[in-house]
Amino acid sequence: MDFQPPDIPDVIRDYILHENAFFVLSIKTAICRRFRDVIDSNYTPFTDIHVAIGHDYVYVKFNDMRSLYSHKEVREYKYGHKYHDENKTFIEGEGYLTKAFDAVAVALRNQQNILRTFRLSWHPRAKQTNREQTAENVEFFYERVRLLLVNQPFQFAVRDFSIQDTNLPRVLAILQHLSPETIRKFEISDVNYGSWRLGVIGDAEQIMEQMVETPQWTSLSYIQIIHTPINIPLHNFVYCIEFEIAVESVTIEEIVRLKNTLLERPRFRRCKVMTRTEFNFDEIIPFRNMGALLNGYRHPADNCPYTYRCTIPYTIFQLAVTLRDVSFEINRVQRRQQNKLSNMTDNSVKSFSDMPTDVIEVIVEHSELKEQLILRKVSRSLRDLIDTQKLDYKQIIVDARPDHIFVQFNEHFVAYLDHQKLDIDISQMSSIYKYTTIIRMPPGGDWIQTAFADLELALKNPKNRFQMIRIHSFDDDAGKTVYKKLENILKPFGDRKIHVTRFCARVVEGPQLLSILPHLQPGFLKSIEIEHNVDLAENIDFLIDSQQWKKAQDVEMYAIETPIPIECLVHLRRFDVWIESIEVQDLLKLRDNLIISPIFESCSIRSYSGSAFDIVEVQKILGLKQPSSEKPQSMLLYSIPNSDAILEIYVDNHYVYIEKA
Amino acid sequence: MSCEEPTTSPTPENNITVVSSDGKEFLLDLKLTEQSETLARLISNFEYDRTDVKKDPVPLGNITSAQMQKIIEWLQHHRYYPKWEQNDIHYSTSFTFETWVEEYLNIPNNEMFELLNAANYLNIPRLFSTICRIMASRITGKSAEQIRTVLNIKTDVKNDVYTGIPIQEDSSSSEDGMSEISLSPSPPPI
Repeated sequence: MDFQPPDIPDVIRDYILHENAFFVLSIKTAICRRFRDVIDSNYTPFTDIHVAIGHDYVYVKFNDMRSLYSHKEVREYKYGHKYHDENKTFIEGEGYLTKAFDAVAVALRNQQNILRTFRLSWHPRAKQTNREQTAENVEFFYERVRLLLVNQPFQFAVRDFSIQDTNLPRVLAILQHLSPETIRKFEISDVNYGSWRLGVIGDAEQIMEQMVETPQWTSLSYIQIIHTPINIPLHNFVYCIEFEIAVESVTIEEIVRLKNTLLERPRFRRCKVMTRTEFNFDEIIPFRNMGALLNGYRHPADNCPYTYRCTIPYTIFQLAVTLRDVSFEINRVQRRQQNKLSNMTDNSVKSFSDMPTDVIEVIVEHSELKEQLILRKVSRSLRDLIDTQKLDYKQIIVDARPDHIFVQFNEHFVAYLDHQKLDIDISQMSSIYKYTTIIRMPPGGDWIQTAFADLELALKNPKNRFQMIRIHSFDDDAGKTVYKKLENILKPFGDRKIHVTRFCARVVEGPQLLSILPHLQPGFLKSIEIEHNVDLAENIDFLIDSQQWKKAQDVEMYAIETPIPIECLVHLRRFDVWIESIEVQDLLKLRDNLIISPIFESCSIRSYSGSAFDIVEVQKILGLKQPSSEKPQSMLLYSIPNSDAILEIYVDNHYVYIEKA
Repeated sequence: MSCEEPTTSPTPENNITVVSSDGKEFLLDLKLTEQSETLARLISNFEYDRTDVKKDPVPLGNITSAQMQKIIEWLQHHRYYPKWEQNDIHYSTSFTFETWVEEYLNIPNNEMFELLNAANYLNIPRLFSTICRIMASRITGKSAEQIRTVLNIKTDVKNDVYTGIPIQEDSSSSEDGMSEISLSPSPPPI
């Protein structure tokens, strides 16, 4: 790059090179000084400047761009890995400090700039010599900043100013040259490293007296003075929104006075006052009268035992005064009782909407699902509240037909149908459909979309817990639509799983099942039921390897044309499966696994092909005994070794039933 | 559930004074305050259960004298009831109430709301839960429009996008509409 004027800070150069290449090309022939003048007299894109000074480096962060100025290449080796995006400027000798300051000065000299934040800080190090070197660098840099600001004919515009400095006269001088029209936040902090601490330079009390008289101070909304404790009268802060200070000592009477003043300050939000002297509540005033003194009361929501709430008259807010050993805080809090859904501001409760949110939540909890869904329709604010609340969903059954969909929400049936379809003759159907709600779409309305919008409402709320979700369709095409739509609902949930205890699916294709099952919470899902004449051959491994299968307790699979390995069933409590064929050796394997299962209760296995069992052979190989005469002849018993329990095994031609007794 | 209510008069040793927002003072037996978690905690913190502690009046800035009167009536009626259990299934789900409770809460809705607010503020769980159940029972079987009337709620939902049925006068479509399932009439009891 042939454009490299020596007096242009890298950040400006980079900004222009990266952001405004056309401009660079157009001024290639201009002299460097002219270019700088142009930059200085125009708005530059600085919003935040953070300076951190160390013993052999200066970090300057311009907006999001981090620049390192150092005089040792070794820093790149030592620290370069931390910030890959930083610009690095290495200059031999002390030139890096000047270079860093020049870069910052470009922003400070510009009258057009309004900085959002300007922060000056330093990095004290453990090593004594490094600390001293850092202090020297800081002195150099801060003094240059002060001289620049003091000698400029205008006050620099910045909103938040933060400085880590013990030289209070310098801080005052800098503050006086910041624009009172823009400054809102002011932070001063001192410098320490463990017990090492720089003493305050100047007469702290006198400087602070001058500081609070400046026009800048009266513009401030946020003040933080975390410094060697300085005694500043608390009334100097009562016009702030927030403040945090450290003082030598404070009395209860001062706290009460401050609280009473802050009660009348509508802008006030919070404050924290740290003291060097520890409160002795017992000596200052008998503690049990503290509430009376503060005219407050203990609130159950406050964890601190020394927190008292004082109501701000005619508002929904309170001041919470918290007393600690070496500090106290005053926070403005919203009264819980007045956490309203509506915008009413007076204290009287005229409508349900004026009730506190948590109260309405309890009322909604007491209602049944149907009422909860009706309440969603009552007002938007109620709907917003209900949508974040656990609703009383117990079961959802989806029954897809070619021209309509039945959905059962708990005991409430809803039929979604097209506007052209004749009414469903409910009377011809099972009595459970007797009170079905019919939702007929207006012309152009999408009944499928409507049905799944209601389903999505139920499924998307992560707090809902379902006892059962059943999906079935007696029409293959309608079934495919249902599974596709459900998959579209569930996919955006990502890793969030649906909490359902029992999942029943009538599927015609393996992928249909596998599009839903992974979205169900493993472990919470106790029971899986799959039916219909489906070939899971390609998907069986996926199914039995899934966490949902492994953590399930009950499985029922009807008319599944897929051989399931016996090993994949023995962890279950109950199972009922149809498999292609089962041999006596499989029964032996099954018996050996089931007798050691801690949860097994019963199972039944049907084979739809293969040879019928020879009961005598089964009895012999499995070591089964004939039961007493009142039991059926096909019932055999196996005594579990070292246990009182037995397995009752019923064997028929193509059917085996085993129960632990 | 009903309990015998022996008459006891509070003595200076076993009572505190609470002051309602309109400045009226009520002498309250400490035994009654056990039903209110807020008052019980306050008494514990201030050690008002000790006889040698001077008991300053407790200001209840959020409760009017009428509400306090009503609450004391509740506290006295339930003075000898067993301690409230949060997970009492009977209380949490049933919509049947004692005759006394039905008469006690046979009040206009706005008074009910204020009483509920007061019960929440004083943290009287039995009263709070009972009013919540009463409120839930009052909306059971009602349509959205009826609920708005009963609970005095002004709707901000204008229409129903799926059915096109206007909830109020506005029938234009809205993407924020809600399904008609919530408008269905309640099935008669089987």
